[in-house]
Amino acid sequence: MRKLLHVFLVCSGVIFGACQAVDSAGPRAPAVRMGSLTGCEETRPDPDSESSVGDPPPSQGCQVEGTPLESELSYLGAVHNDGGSYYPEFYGQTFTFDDVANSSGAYSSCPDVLQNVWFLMVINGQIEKFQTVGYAHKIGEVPMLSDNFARASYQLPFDNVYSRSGRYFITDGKVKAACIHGRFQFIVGGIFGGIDASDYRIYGYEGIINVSSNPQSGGTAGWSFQNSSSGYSNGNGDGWGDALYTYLETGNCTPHLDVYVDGVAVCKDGIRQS
Amino acid sequence: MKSLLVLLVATLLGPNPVAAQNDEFFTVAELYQALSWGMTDSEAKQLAKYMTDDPAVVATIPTLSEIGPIASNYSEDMLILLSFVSKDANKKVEKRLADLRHANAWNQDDQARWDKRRAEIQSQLVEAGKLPK
Repeated sequence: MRKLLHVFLVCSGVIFGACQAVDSAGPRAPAVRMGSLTGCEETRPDPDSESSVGDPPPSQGCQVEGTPLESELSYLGAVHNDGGSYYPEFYGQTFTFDDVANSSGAYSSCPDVLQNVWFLMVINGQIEKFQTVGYAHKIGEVPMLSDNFARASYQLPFDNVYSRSGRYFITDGKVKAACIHGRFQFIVGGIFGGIDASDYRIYGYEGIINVSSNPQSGGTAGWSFQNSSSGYSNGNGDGWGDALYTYLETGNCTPHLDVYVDGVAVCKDGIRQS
Repeated sequence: MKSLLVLLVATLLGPNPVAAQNDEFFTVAELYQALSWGMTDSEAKQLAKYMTDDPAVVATIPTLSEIGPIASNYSEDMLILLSFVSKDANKKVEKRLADLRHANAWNQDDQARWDKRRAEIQSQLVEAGKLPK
């Protein structure tokens, strides 16, 4: 009973119907669920809701809008912010924020464009990776946090981007970036050489996540997909993303699955086609 | 002196089983090594901690850990620098490039551009005495 009292529901305003159980004693990774996706199997897709280029509407319908930040936070475990008084330590040495900012170029701004941005999201307790192709354009600055690293929001290129598992795809949306720059320079022949030593930490996706297949469907009848310049399409059935990845990486076919690359059948029922 | 410091960093990270077995993220030691070729030791130390995508380290930085799963999009130059650190680090770089190829975000032209830029940076670092000839 006491444990029950420790559990309450957190509902995010930006995630439709998203409620998740969070233990008030602290978030726990295994318990993470995106409530908004739990009921997806019961929702029928709206054929008109998908205006994506070259991609069919989700084979099993539901959409999630917003950022599952609550889930992501839960996934990361109990990390507490003590209100900005955090000072990083490096092997016993303590630095102030100003030290970090001054040395790392933290006060500089984020670039106008970022290329081939990728980011992670926690969906139904699983980490899903989305790798976009093309340029993301800066659409605004985001207030700095206590680390003083520049932050900005970016508009992702409009395209179908499937998650690594193939279960979800997005068509556009926005992300945020924390821009960690390094002032990397050295002297060659009396001339300063410069290198862009940067890490753009991408987070905070805002947009629609489409469910591209239903893991409950079972079987792989009629399973096929196409790998085009705009991403992967026509996925139908669980595991096609992994099968495609396996083929592209190793040239091997996955048993019982057909694989199409750029419109050509390279695997039929798990057998490689010449 | 710098190599001794690198050794010390590696030793300090040694007992961490996650760091020792990882083939996904770039450790503080790897980033420190790469950054130290172009900035002071203290700068490289500080920045390496912020740039690493080692979950154990990121978890100690609330402003970066609380934003969600770690998605370090390293700049191309940064990845090139890391590729010179060690064979293991280079493997991780190759894996990231493979991810790009997988997503059709990397073609032969990109590879040619990468090779050219990598040779350019390597040459400069060698000339600057940062990398052995």
